[in-house]
Amino acid sequence: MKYMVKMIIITILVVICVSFLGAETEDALSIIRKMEEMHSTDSSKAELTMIVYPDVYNKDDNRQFKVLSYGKGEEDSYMVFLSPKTIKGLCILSRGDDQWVFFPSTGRVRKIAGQSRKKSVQGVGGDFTYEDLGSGKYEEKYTFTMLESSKDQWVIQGNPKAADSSYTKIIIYVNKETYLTDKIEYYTEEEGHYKDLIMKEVKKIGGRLMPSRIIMANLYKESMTVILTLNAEYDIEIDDKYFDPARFYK
Amino acid sequence: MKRTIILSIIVLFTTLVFSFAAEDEYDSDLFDIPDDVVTEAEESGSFTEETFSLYGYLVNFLAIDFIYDGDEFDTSYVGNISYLRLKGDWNPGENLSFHAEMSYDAKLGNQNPTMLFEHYGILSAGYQADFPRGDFIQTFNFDHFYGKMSIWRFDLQFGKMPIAWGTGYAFNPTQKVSLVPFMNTITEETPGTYGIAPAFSLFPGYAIEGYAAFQDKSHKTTSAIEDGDWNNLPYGIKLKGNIGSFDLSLSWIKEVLYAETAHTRSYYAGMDFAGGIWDVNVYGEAVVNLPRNSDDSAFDFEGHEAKDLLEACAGFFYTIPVIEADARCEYYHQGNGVTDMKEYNVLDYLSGEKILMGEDYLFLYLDKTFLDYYKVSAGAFFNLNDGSCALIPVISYDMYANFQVELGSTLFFGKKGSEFYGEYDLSFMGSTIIDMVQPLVYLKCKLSF
Repeated sequence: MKYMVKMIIITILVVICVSFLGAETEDALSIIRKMEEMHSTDSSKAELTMIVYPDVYNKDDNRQFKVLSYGKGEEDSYMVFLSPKTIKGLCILSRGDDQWVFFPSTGRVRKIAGQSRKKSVQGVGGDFTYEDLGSGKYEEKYTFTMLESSKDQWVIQGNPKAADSSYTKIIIYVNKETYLTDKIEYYTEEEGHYKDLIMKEVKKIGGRLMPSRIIMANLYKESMTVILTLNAEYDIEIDDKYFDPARFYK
Repeated sequence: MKRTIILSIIVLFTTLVFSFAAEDEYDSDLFDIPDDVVTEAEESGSFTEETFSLYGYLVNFLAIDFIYDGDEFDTSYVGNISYLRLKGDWNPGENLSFHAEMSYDAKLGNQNPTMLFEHYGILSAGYQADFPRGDFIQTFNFDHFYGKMSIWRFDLQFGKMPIAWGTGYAFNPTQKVSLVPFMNTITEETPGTYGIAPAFSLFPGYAIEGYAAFQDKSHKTTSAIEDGDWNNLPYGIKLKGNIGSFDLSLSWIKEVLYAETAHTRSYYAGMDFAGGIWDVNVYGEAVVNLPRNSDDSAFDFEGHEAKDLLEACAGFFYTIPVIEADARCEYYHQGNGVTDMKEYNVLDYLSGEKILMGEDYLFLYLDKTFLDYYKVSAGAFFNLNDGSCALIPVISYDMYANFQVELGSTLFFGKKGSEFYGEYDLSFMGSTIIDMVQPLVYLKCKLSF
């Protein structure tokens, strides 16, 4: 009997250890894939408020933008600015690494390529670049290595595959419980630790667990841009024309 | 003593370690969102695209010019433009919408063209007295009003609408339905043209689109029986697609221009492109004029040189990494322009037939944004044939989300007789020598609502 109890305890311990080992040995890429799975939808529509703080020491000075955002799969996204009136109707289409902007005042569509993708949106400013607002899978842009695994988070470093990336590396903090991103640190060659994307107030929006507040904290410029998700719907029918570069502005 | 030194080293080392560790950290409270802002945004609730909306902007443009007589600044004039643009949208359904834009402007002082034309003798003194009911200060224009509908892969736009073809910034050789105001510091809107514009998506990224316009490029305000001639209807058709990181299009365009007393018709084969090579944004567009014989019955290339038939622009855009300033460079070739300044014909410019008279131009632009809302920029147009130049330095500040103030200047340089020197002999029109350009300093305020 004593021997039996001993064996059961040992078996339980072995099972616990193996399961812990299994979790720890989960490789960085699998975690990133699972994280993207958590964020991914067939289609989405969200109402966002973007708040730009040019100086974090003076939070009274801020600009607010209302944006409708549509997404299809992991590659395509479409955003239209509804306010302020200065930029009403400005649309941004992202398909993987390609981006187009429609400026309603001139009636022209401009292709965003090269260095322009590293800039913030014309007329909006803020700390999100066209590249940050773009779409596409992380694993297509970065190679990943595990830096650390704590009780609550995995810390994973991504090194860009493309030479023309804005960032020399990114560090992603993935929540072990939810597989949602807690934070992403962006590093550049000149500035080093340049900015942080911080996810806050995770709650159910449109039936899915999502951060309702996203902060892009620019440590170099000491500015920040906040995106508040006010409402969202997922896996809904969206007209394909919004994701067609030849038609999205029509 | 030894103990004290060791202790000091330990303290110093510990301090250093902690300060280095802290360097990569930051005060997270600094990047906290003020609760009142979040509450206000969240309480404003859900929003969607409005069914009806009315918006627009008001510009006040105060301009002071200086007449430079070669040695010193002589007289000075002042003027003002008040410009109101009202825009309205109606979106009754996802694939159906209506848009209208109305503009009103009042031009006074040195910004009033009638006053300037009288001053230079292009119009007779007292010309305005011949039109007692005429208004030589204000203009009111329904610039755009058009409907848009989409069904399956088909899109249709109709009414008076902006037809903005081309990828160029300063020049658009493929835009052949309206005269684009050159160096316009008041507004960047593309003028509306009466027409219909259908488009059909072949597959994602590829489409065939076109327009049929019901007015010639001059947008003249008089009507003639010849306007109804089928031959005088401008049109354009374009096949566009996306190959790799480039957008490309091929087009066929018929341009009709009412110049002086008759309609002239021109046919063009065109193309444009935009994309990225390494870190540089590149773009360009070109049309080749396909000349017709004297009775306009067939194409006839005899006696024409290729460079005279070509109108093209090509440019690049680059963000200079160290100073984070944007630089743009655009070259423009106008095949029907002239290289000898003695051959400049100011009537081509005054009639709206051409926006520039030379053959080769270079546009350079540099801007730098500070703290998101302050911008310093300088744009320069160079006539490469006569060496003259127009320079536009500007400082702008987005004081509020809907209010912008801009201080700028237009400066002209060149030898006597060159394009941007600006003096033209109009003695054949009964006038004397006129100076079309004056150095100008302006203050522009723009309020969006």
